[in-house]
Amino acid sequence: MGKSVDEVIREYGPALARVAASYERDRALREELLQEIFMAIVSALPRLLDPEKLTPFVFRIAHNRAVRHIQHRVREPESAAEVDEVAAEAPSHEQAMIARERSEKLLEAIRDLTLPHRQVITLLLEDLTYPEIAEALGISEANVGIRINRAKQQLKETLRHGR
Amino acid sequence: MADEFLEELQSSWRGQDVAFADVLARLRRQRWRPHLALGFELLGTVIAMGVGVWFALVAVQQDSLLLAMSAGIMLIAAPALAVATWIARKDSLQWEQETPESVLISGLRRADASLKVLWVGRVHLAVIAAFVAILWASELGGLINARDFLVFYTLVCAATVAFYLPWFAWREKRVHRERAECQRLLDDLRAGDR
Repeated sequence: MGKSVDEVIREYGPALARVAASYERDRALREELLQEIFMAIVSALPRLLDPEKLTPFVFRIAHNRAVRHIQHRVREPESAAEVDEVAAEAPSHEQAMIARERSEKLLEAIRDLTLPHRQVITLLLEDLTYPEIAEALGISEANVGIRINRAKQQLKETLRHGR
Repeated sequence: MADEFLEELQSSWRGQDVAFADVLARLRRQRWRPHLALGFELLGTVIAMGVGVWFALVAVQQDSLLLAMSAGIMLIAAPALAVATWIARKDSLQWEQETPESVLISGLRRADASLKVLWVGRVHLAVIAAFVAILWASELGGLINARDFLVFYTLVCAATVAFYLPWFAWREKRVHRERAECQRLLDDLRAGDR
């Protein structure tokens, strides 16, 4: 017995919101994208044949919908001032500020990655396995490995220079 | 070392504030829309066909050609439109079966199709302009005598052209930009494994 739409959205909602954030900097457009992802999942869920493959199924829809979203968007100038609040849960105000700054830097660095690298790294950060990432993106596991290594290298460099 | 880096990234990644209550509320309000739209389409088709049958009956009783033609149009057009909508919906993207590459390729095709449609639109405007020019030539040559109508018709056509030409230019620029973005993303994707 598969999960209901509400269960899927409750379980994957936060991860899908993070995926949307990796594609869209503007808060209103990000919410629009997340809404589009949710709607696509709602209509596609009855077609899921194997409940074991729910995770790659959900992320595949999310990334495909996000790709369609960004191709319609005019590329906006890179601007740190436009970065939305990416708060973090932390016990003290100072720790919260540090965590928030780290999350912002990471999100910006991920947005700067090329599309294939951004996709694999966000899926890896959501704890998907290599076979699940391959299934979600429709590529081979070998390609997943190659993309992940390159994405990590780029992130290391960006974050090192940014710090 | 690599795992430590990844763990650090994951900690920052998961630390994002992902409040999406507004989106969820909107989703709850809107998730029945596709079903509602389908229901209204079916209802519209049934009503149109019912009216078509009624028109046909009245046309037979009153021996009215106009009502018979109306009935024929409704009985043919209503199911044809419903089938066309159903085919269009069936052919729309199923997100779970696509890949990022296929989404981008379909985006390129859509952009190319839009550019063709815009070109056809421009041709239509040229045909309208040519038709108006021919009418004026006929008027001035004495072949027809409908100056008042021609002035009115020319104004209507000029307004149409004045509205659509800038819109076509705006839309074309946008579609070109979308196409270029699709191509750039597709190139990125294909270069990703090289």
